[in-house]
Amino acid sequence: MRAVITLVLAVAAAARPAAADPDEPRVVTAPTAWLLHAGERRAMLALDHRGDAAVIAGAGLGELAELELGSDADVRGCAGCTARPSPVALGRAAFRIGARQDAGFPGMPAIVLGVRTTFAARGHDLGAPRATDAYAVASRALGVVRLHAGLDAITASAGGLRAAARLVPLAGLEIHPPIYPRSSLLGDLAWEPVLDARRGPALEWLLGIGVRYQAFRWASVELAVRARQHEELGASTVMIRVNAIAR
Amino acid sequence: MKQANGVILATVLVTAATARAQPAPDPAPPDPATAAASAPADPAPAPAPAPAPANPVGTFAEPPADRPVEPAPEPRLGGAVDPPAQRRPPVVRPAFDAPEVLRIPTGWLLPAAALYSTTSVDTGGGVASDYRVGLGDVAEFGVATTDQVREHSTATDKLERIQPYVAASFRLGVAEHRLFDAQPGVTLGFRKSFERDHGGEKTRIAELTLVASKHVGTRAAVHLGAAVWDASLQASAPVGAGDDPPREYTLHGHGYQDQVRAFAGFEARPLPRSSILVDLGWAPEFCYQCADGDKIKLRPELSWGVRYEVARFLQIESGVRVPDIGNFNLLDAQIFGQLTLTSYALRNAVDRLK
Repeated sequence: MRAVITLVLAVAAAARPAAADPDEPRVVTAPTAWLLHAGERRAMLALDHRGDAAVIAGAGLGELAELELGSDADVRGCAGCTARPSPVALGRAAFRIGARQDAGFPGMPAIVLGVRTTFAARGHDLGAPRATDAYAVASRALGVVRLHAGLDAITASAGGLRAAARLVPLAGLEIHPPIYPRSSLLGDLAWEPVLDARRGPALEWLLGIGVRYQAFRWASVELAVRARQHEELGASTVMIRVNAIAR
Repeated sequence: MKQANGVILATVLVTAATARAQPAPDPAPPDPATAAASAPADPAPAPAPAPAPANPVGTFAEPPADRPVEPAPEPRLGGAVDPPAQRRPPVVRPAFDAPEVLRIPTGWLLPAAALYSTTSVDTGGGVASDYRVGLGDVAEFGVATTDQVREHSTATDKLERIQPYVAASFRLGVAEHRLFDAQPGVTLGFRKSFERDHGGEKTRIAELTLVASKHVGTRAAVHLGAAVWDASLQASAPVGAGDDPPREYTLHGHGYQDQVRAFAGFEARPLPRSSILVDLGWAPEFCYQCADGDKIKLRPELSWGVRYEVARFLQIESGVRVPDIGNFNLLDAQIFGQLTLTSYALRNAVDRLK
């Protein structure tokens, strides 16, 4: 473990900062602090091996913020939770405001304060499910690695039962091997609610690992695996994701 | 002969149809003696104009001074040129400050005859519009539909919006720096809703505000104010002949402590076309089945977001609203988007009539 930490610190110390902020708003699940520039638009389309899809579009606002709108099935839910919770397709919107790296002083990480909330749900019997999270995340590109760390306050309700906001950590790591300039290795830790309509919402962690291939300047493809806290490893989700950006 | 006439007529028509006017003759070169006599005695160049200052925070950009020049009229057939139209030089209107931060009013008024409209939607299904016009640089009038008013049957029920909730507003005040250098902009505003019958209950709201706004340098501004709220609630079910009408519950029936609230806002402009906005205001809610003293309440509402000036007449605002920040109820947070349009069209039309 010490060797790994030493290696990571050595790589981070020796790495040079990137010339400009990257633009992906999430590692696998965990948010990053990269913001779109004013007028830029981004779209993400994801599909996992169970057939659950996610579509999210975002737009930069005034070099300070960005707005996201879309739908995903990251939240799980069940009416009685006698069986495995199933994905709940939720409309989601997010507002992220922050500062880019080096904006305040040399070496400053990019910082974002984001709020994400649900606005529509379909295909469930959970009784007006809702989930909202507010997070602060810092990101820094250090040559071949990009580090992300933050805190997330998550609250949710289902079946008329509401869970108080709970503070959880966020972490993410991207590695860009120099010998594969278009490829990145991704790993992150994030949290999502499990909406139990009978006992109330709870939280579970998600561990994600994946690979991103920057096929074009305006598009990338990701292949990722996500494991959840209350699922066996064999029940992990494999997904493919396509990102496109218009500048 | 008829054939010749036809050919001549066709030739004339075709020629006339395809002919273009002759270019206007070049103007005669100026007489050197006359030119020398009319030249100024001091040939020193005029001083360069000072660069225009950046728009301070809270202001919408000035209309363009460098408007495109219309092309000169083409000469008419035969070489005559239309006389030049008597056009007034374009008027550069002053920049003006936004009359609202995100939810709270500011101490800045619209200029005379300036038009302002804003429309917003949010993830809670709220839709709101606000239309205003400036009156004589000392007042403004507006009509709006607000999505701030909420209702529920019992205290444990989820709050739902009552919308559209139409209200009219009138504000008057004194512009910043008008009376003395450090004077903030001050406005006294009154907003009153039309009666709304919804779910068997008639409701109304009214709000009297006094707010002061002050620029701090060119990149920040603060807003502080106080509001006196009132609201009424009465069942709208029909009553039989001889029965007493349903009781009307009002906010003013419980004393000033339930009516008077302070509000505040802050703006910062870290980039030339982008501002960060934060405000804390209040919104009324009705509880139909609650005890008498809890039927009408004011809830604090925190908003933050960004205003991005897309064009001189168009701003996009987006951000987050937490309608019940007093209970740290994050679950009710809403993401909103808002379009704001500003125009001097009415002012220009009035000026043309003068």
